[in-house]
Amino acid sequence: MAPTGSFDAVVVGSGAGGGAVAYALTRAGFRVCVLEKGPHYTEADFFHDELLVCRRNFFVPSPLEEPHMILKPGDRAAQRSADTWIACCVGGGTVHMSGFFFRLHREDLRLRSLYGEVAGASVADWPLSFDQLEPFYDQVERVIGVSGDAAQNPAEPHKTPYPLAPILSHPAAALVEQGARKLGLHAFPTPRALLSADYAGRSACQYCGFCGSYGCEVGAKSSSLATFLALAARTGKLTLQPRAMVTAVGADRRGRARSVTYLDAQGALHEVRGRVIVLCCSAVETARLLLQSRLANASGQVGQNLLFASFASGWGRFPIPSPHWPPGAGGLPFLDRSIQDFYLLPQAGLPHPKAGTLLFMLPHVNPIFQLERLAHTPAGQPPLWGPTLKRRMREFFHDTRTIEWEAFGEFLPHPGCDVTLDPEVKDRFGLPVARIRLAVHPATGAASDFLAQKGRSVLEAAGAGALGSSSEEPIYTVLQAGTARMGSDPARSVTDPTGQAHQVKNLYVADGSGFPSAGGAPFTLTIMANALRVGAHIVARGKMGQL
Amino acid sequence: MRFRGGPLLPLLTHLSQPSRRQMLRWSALGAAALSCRSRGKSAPPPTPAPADSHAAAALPAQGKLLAAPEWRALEAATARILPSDDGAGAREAGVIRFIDAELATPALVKLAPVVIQGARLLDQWARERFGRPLADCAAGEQDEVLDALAHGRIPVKAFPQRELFQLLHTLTIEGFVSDPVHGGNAGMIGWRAIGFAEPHLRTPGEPAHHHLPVKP
Repeated sequence: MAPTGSFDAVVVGSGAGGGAVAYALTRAGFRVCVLEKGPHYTEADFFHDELLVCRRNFFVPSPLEEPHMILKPGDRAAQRSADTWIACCVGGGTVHMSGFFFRLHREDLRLRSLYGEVAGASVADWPLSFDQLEPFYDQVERVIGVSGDAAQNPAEPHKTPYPLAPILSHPAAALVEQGARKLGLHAFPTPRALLSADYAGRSACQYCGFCGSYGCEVGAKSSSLATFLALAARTGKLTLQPRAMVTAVGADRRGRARSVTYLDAQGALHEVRGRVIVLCCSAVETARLLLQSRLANASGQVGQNLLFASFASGWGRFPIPSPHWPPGAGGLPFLDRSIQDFYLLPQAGLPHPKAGTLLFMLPHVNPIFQLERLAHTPAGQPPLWGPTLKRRMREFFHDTRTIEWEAFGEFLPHPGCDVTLDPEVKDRFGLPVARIRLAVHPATGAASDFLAQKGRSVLEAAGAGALGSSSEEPIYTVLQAGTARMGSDPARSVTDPTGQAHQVKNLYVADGSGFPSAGGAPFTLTIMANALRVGAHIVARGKMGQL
Repeated sequence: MRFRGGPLLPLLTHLSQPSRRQMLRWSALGAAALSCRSRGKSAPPPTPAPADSHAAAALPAQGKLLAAPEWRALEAATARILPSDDGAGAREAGVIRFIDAELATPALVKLAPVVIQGARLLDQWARERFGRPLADCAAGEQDEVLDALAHGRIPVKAFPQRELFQLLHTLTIEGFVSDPVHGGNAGMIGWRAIGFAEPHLRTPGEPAHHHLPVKP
């Protein structure tokens, strides 16, 4: 039965933000309706079929039916794409995430104050301090289970230890540690939203290796699906409706958000009312819904300041057998070392002193993905084929072992990167789709290049025989934020510091859309922590009778 | 971004929504469709198929989607993209069975017309150059035909040659190392060729999916 009627809160979206805010509200006794666009997969639906799970619209809609229209600098026309969709299923992107769970650093919330304006960018401070966010990081890590060792990362003071020891790593992690040490750097175990031991009634990671890009069939990945939403359901206060495509948020004459309308799987239109309405649809889709609903946009800022993580990646190959590659370790798919010594670099001569995080890992298990990468050529050239491709396959799969690095950095917001409604294209529901201008500020590119060079040098110091780069453009589109910026000034932001829309007092944004900046590391943990913070503000207002 | 997996989605958007005009042009690809004959040099006279050709292999009756000549042309093309000279290739893995099955699925069925027209184009150009359909050409001749397709150098108007090559390339890789339930990777031969051992963990409700033992 599709829910209708009234709830204390209606939450749109069930990913990192939606799951966390639903948890916070139901635990406080709110009756919450969560509307999720995608299906409700359970552990029984997750299996290791690369073709079906990773390449045939298991997690994201087909760009034929529900495109994002992406316009890149120099392109004449926008292209249909699925690249900026976050997974559409209960749990959202946290279902198939790798779960690299870093905190922002204290300085990340004050970029404008500490380092000033950057020409051509729209850098802003967060309208809150790190101290206000920190308790919610502790809470997320404890509630969902994050594995790591805070003591080994000198770049980030982490007062509370992780609840779980680091996930087991392949012995080749020692190569990265040695390489880092030679360069005076500190490689520490990458914090992961995976259980290194049984925890809170869930079972530990089985080290199957089908982690990023797949749902976890044993529930060891600390997704919103396995944690926040499961805990919210146990309160008896949660109504979760999958396959509910929200079409608009309706407001009454006094300018309060009144209801949410949605289409069910059969295409029938329903309406649910909420005393509070919370949007958590991902930065692109939250902006689209606000624009479609013509709400909360007196500042004209909805859709502006779109953020991603900046990204670069590459690899080093180690001959086998060789003294440079440790034997053994069959069945240990993770290497999981990170370096944050370049997180802040006021002295490095970069256009902006924020760089980011280097992660080291073993290649992903997906064979189709790996073969395509081996065949990859510069744009405009046909992919490699024939004996040349087979030679590369032999080298990659049989003659060498590979360690990869990925660099995640600060993505500066700027006026050339935003979300609007496409003037022409509509999705299969007849709704205008999001049009995304995807562009990188030059300072972001410079920091990304800097990190890439460091990634290569660590693997070189570790003894790699050959080095290469994999990525082409420095945007990691499945980590997205901005578009409904939090701020104290209603003329220059969409919500106040608590996530409440300036013009619509019972409308909140609790995904990454509120972030003025998104830090120099994957920021899913921060989306969860901020959503718990927004949830706590909603609960506090409810207790004071202000809803 | 790993789960977005490769260039297939953009191709799907590009190739599966051809205009009516494009469709008419593509369907006109036939005996006389090549827009300009190679000038100066006339095609060599037909010669007997080389002895090592696989063309003599039994023809499939017909695929789910592909007629026998298309099946043969595409099988020959995939066998050059992943040849068998260095261990198993696309032919041993039955990649053509995968392509035939996959193009009949709802996800890719819109691509079927362009693939079928592409198979006819390959045969047509092979006949033009070497006097034989692609499957009956020698390996080096097949490579020349495919290379022309890959660079968009077959003299035919308004056919997305480069995109078709990219699509065949993608489908060949998918058919080589995807789960055998999809029709390719026969006997897990593709997985064995790359030393891929899918770690053995329960796959609930999916008894038909395959596993190799964990790599030691």
